Amino acid sequence: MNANLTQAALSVEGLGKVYGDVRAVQGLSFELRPGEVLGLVGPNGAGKTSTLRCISGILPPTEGQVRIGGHDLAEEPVAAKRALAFLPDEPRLFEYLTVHEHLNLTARLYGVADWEAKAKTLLEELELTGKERSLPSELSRGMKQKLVIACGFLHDPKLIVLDEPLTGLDPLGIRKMKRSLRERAEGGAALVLSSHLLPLVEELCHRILIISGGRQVALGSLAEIRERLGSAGTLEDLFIAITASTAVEAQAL
Amino acid sequence: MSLWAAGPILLVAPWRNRIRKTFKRLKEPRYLIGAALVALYLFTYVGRVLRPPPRHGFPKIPFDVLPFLDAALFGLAVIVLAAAWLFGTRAPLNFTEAEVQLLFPAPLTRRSILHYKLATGLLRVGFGALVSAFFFSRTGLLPFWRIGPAAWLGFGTMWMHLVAVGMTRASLRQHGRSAWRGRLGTLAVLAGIVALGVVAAKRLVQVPPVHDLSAFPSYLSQLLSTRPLSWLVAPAHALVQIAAGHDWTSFGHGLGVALAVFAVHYVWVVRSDQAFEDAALAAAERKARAKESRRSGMRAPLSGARLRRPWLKLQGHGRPEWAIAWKNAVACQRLFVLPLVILIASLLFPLSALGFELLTKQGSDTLFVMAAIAAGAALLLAPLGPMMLRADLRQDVKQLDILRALPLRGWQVVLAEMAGPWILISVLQGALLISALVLSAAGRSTSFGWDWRLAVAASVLMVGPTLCAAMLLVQNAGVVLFPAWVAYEPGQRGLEAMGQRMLSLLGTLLVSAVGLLPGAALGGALYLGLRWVGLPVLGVPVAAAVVAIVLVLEIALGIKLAGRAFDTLDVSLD
Repeated sequence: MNANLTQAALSVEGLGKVYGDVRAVQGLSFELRPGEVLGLVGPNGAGKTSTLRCISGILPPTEGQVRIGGHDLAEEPVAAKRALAFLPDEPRLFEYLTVHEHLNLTARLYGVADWEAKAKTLLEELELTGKERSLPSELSRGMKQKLVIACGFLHDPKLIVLDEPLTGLDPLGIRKMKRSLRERAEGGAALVLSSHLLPLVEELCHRILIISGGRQVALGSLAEIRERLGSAGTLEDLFIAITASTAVEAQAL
Repeated sequence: MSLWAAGPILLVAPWRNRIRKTFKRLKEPRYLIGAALVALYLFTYVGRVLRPPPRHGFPKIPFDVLPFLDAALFGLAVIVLAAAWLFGTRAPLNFTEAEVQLLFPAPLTRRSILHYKLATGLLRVGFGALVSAFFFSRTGLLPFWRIGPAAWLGFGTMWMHLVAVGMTRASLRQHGRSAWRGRLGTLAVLAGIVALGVVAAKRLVQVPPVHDLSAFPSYLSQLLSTRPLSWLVAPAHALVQIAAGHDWTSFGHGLGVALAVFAVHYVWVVRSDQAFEDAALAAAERKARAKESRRSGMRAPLSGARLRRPWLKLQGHGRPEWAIAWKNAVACQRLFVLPLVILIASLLFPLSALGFELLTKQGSDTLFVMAAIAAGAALLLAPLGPMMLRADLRQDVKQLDILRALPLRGWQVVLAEMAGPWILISVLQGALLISALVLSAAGRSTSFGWDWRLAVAASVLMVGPTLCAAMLLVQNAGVVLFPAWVAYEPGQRGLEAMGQRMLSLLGTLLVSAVGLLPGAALGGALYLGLRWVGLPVLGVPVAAAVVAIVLVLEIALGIKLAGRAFDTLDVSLD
């Protein structure tokens, strides 16, 4: 088997994040192989965004280790981040740069050879052709989201971290985005996808990580989680069953 | 509930909440210290303005001055109104998005919405006018009970005129009239005013001689009282009578005329209450976008019309840090247009002097003085440039999380962020220095030889850009080390926010002074030593070189430390 495929694209061990007195994330451990799609689900305030931000190197974890493509994020942050793309739920762009200039900036930062051809393809794929000279203020929310996605995909990342990736996209955009994510996973990229749209998670993800109160409460394929719970419901049913019982446990404590 | 019943809530609640927010913010040390600093500043500096002025009945402004006040006020009004009619793009009434969503679909008449907006607008304008009038009255020139009503009526009428202009323009657009037709009408009115002025001037038999200044007030008074020019000046004259009239009659007359003009404007606005919804909605959305832009660290939203091609092209390959430096150079070019124009305009001064010299070939000492000023300006750009061009981490403070996700080390981010403005400012410093040398070559000076000129130029060349980099580092390190202290929204209001800015400035100056001290002490000692052995000319560049070297070492260390702080910065905490 190819060595690249055997090495974990993402490895998280004992990840924890504390804000003052609040333990937002604690003891998260999981691995992700190339081509694998992991769905991260949990109720509001469960620690999903904190987890994604720690994985992406935006927030320093309070404890634990994150390795991306074999590189320790704390020890080799540049090499680790070069293999990563983080697509936040809220498109954050530099308001003074055009669409084309954003792609130019990203290409230089990540050292993308032949970026203009790649950018052209991505803009076509995301239906942004003709908007190259537009500023973010001239784009709709959905288009801004597409630009963030284009910038994220430009350097062919090995790990793509997505926080609510479909927010703001129209139905056609959602369909194309799902196809694009599938293609990237088939091309060998590992994906961590956080979303409240459980049918989307069910449709795209190979494995699901459910967290509640910052803790890992279930990890595995949908079939494995069903088997463990002895239930045959949808992900929504499982999610409600798991998080409700966790909330009761937390209250009892 | 009618709008009149809801009005007090809409009027009082925002102020109450703003005050609450201010007090809530004071729980944070940065705002509390800022507020204390501003209080101290007001107490020590502005305090003397707050002392009660000498009491007197009617103001003692000489009669001779009143025509000048009439003319100045009239001229100012013509400029503001002509600009509004010719180039104004503002919406008739400035609704917030919340007001649009809440009031427009509510079961209210358009006229009641209009009245609500007029009332809030006039209260806001009036409050500003009264505060200005209060401070002005403390000078003792005019009492508050005179300037207050004059300022309120003046600003209020002007504001209503601007609202009416917006409504008229919207109405014209609705009826398919082009903007150019309106502009031509404005130009015709302006031409009419000028023609009236000329006719009035010609009617006066005696035009005073230019050197006889004492006759001018009387001439101006006669000119402005000649019909029909006097009718146009009447509103301005009425305000001057309210504020500075010498008796009750003139005060009453002025008040009557000003109230009549105000009433005419009110009727104008109320009777043309059409077509404000579309423009108000568009303006509210623009306002919301601007607010959103400020939240994300932008000063103002850009539009495609203001887009300029980047001066520098960014290649797709090469050192990644350059991408951030390039980004900030583009930000300077697009967001900091005015500071950049001011900085570049500083070059025009020596260049125009040089051009004059080339034309006249006079070679004078004046040119030499100008050369010295240009060299001084190059040095002065070191502290001023970084304060004006904030296209670095200060600009990106709301996007630190994005920068954290980039495949760069902290020191690379800090260095690259500083590089954009530093390159621009250094190029300007170099250009000013070259201009200074060329000017000094064209000028004559017997006491300041070429050895001294080159020594000074070399010194400025070494110290200027280095000092600029040091200033930029202090400002950027501040963002990394104390993001909460600089993470205010541009345009954030309130005394505590003002105090926070004052603190940032004081901190920057203090740290810069401390950083400059070792180099300056060492360089100064070397200069004195060389001067003592009879080498004062050599002493200047040697001292400058030492200052620059020490600064470079400090900058390198500072970038490393700031980079380390950036690597461990927890953006969630701020």
